[in-house]
Amino acid sequence: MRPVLLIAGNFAREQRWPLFFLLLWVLGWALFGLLDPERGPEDALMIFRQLAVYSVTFGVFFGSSAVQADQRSRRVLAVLSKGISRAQYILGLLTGMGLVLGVFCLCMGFTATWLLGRFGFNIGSLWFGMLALWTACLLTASLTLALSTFLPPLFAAIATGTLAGIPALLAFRGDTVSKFVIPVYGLVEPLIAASFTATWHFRPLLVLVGWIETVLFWMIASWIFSRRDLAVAAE
Amino acid sequence: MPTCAGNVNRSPEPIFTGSAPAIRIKGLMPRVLDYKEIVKEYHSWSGRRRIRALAGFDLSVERGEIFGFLGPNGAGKSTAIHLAMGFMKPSAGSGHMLGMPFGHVATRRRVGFLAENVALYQRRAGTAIRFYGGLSGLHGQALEGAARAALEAVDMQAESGRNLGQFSRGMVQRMGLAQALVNDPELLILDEPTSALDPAARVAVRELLLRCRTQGKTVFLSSHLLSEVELVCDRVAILSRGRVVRTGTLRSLLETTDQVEIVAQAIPLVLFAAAVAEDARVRFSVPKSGQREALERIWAAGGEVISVNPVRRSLEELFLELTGGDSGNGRELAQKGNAQ
Repeated sequence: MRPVLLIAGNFAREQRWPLFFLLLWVLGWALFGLLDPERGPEDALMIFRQLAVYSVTFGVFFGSSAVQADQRSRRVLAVLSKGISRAQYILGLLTGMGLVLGVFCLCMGFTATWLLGRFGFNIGSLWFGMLALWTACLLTASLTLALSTFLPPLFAAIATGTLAGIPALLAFRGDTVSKFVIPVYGLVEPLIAASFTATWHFRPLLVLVGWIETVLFWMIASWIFSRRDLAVAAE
Repeated sequence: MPTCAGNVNRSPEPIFTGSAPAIRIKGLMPRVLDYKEIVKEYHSWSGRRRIRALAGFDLSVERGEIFGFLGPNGAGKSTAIHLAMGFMKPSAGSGHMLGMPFGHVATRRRVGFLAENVALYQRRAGTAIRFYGGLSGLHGQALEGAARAALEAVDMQAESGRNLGQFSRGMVQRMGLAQALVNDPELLILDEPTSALDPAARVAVRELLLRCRTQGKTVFLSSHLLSEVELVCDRVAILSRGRVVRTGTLRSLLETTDQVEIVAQAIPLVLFAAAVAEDARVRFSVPKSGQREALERIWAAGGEVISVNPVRRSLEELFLELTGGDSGNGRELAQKGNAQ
């Protein structure tokens, strides 16, 4: 487990600048609430919804580039020459993504508690929403990571959008089974549709399914990656 | 402590200047690396373009030796190394490293690997080595000690607080060597370990390798620097177009069987064709079959024989002879394109 945590910590460290810039967004949102409290709760909620969607996109961004970046820079050779398996390496990257996205969701949750709580937003529901959002981010990241083991980053990102989008569309049209297939939309939907008046409908089962599918995609990613040649030519 | 006994630059031990082969009987020493009939093909996505990087590749490396792995660009050296490390799988054939099949995860903990054009995460040098040591299963005081010793071994302990991003290529290469040494490996696999180093650092690395051998470690050294290989290796294999074309001890490979060099004095220069005068001595080569006759002519002329030795080729001459000047550049480029 220690090598996994080392790789995770290293990934989080490598992504500290992207994370910093993402957190600036949250900070900007907080400043908006601090400096202009009279603009009304609806504006704050709109930014909150936007950030929820963006955070899933960040999952795609991290997932699509992690393996490729290490492989192209040849840094993967020094890591995999040690006594760790490819599954551990992939799990390390995924845990690192979970860490980075978790920090983002946590900061977003605290800001939302402070900013939206002042306008009477249901804070208990909000934190459950943050858990669902983090699950959605991690699920997206693991799906993209699995695809990036055999596709270039751009194609992996497009394929993730397609694979996560089709069940979402079917679920949107009323198909109940599709709701549980890569349930990114289902997990984020309550946050996108959040309002001060409507009751939030969070689904713990969907969060559980999200975690199970995250593990499943990690297994698929490990299976594919362990069969790939790391043919990295010297420049 | 690990890492071949600390800082080689400050070592009081004598510097070896030639290969000092241990007594070894071929086939009796345990094999630490064993390739058997390995074939490796790269192919494009469509499968139409295929390039055979290794074809019927056979090679054995014995415990406790420094083994030189030579070949022109694109001959398949890095492919063979990457197969042993489990970075890729052979298309056919099999191989073992330290008694386990190639790619065995736990076995890699007993191996140190330095890739060609090494790339490491840009962290402080000390932290980076601790990171790689941690991946090798070290922790706590053992990790601290091993990291310190590894940095000392490559004379980088003074730079442990600096970020790798600020290092020159040569310094990064030394750091690469440190991460390979941090787990006190039984087998060191080094792909061009001195390509970016200055002469002083090269000498230091050479001493380090010799010190590793005296500790019973095995070193598998891929290098283009033939003079360096000639200085440290017990045995070498020369690779051309994916096949091992010659393997053996340096002594057996470099000695020719058909020519001897004779040095004599007090004889006229014209006594032998192509003889060269050196101070008061005369040096010339004759076929081995004519050795007795040449010696008798010297004595008949009242001369004195100083030495008779088999003619030694340089490793460079042997290399060019066996590889036929095959640069393999075009092949390598095609290989890279397909492998990506």
